[in-house]
Amino acid sequence: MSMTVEEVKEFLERECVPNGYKYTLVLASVTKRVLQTQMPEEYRLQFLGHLEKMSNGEQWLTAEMIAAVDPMDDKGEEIAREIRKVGPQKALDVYADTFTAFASLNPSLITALKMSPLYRYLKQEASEAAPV
Amino acid sequence: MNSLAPKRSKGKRRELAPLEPVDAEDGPKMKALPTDRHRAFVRNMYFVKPGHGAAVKAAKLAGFGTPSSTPQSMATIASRLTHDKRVQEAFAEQDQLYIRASAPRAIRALTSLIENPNAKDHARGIAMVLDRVHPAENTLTVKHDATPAFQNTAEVMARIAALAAKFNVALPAPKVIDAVANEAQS
Repeated sequence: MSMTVEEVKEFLERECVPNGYKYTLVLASVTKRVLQTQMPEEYRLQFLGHLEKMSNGEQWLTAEMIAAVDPMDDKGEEIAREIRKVGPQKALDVYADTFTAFASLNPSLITALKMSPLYRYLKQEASEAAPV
Repeated sequence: MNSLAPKRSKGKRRELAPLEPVDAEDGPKMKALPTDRHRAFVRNMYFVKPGHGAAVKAAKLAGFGTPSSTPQSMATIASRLTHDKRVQEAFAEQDQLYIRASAPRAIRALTSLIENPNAKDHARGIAMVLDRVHPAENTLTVKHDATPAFQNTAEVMARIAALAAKFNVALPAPKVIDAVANEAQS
C-alpha cells in the first residue's frame, strides 16, 4: 500500500518515531537489497548476521518487522548512495532525516513500524480508552 | 785439503720421470669451432694484455691474417672473430673454466685474509666465511589445510538459509555451471 509524503509525515509526527528507529529500518532495507546481489557466502552470512543483530527481541525491532521490510528499490538506493558520501557517522542521521522519502518509495518501512510492539501497545491502549 | 779429495763420480744421470698425461679436453663449444686457429684465438684472448688492440694481437698470435695485412684488415678480422656467435659461446665456456680454476686461489687468498687481523678487510672476510658456513636462517611456518571442510560449508549454507528465511530475504539463484548430469552406475 503506497503512501504519499504527507501521509508518511503525518504518521511519523503522530507516533513520534525516534530517529534510531528510522535509520535502522532504512539500513535493514539497504542490507536486504545488497543481499540480493551475488557475493561470496562468507559476506552474505555477515550481512545476515547484521540483520540478526538489529532485531533485539521484543523491545521494538522484531525479526518479523525486519522480515516485513522490502529491499530498497533503485531510486531509494540512489538516494542512499548519495547520503553515504557524507560519511558513516553523519549518514545515519541523514537517513533518519530523509526517512519520509524512503518510506514513500518503500511503504514497507511504515508497515514494519506499525508492527512494532510499542506501536501495537499504544494502539491497543488508545482503542481501550476510546469511548464506546 | 778437500780440494785433493777425489771427486765422487756422479754416475749415470737419472732420467726424468715421464709426465703424467694431462687429459684436459676442450669443452663442446671449443670443439665446435671450425679451426684450430679459432680455438687459439679464444685462448689467446685470456693471455694477451687487455686493452685497446687486444683482439688484434690475439688474432695475430692465432695465425690470422698475413704479414702484409694492414692494421685495418687485422682489426676487421679481430672484430669479426669476437662477434662470431660460435666464438662468443666458446668465450662463455672458457669463462666458466677460468673462474672455476681460480676458485682454489681465491679461497687461499680468503684464508690468508682471515688469518691476518691487521688486514683492512679482515672483518669482512670473516663475515663472508661465516655467511657461507652458517647462513642466516629465517623460519617460516606455513600451515596449509587442504582438507575440504564440507561439513563447515554445509553448516554455513544452512545458517544462511535459516537467516534468509527468518528475515524474508530473497537470495539470488546460485550459479550453476552448465553441465549434463550422468547417473553413476552402481
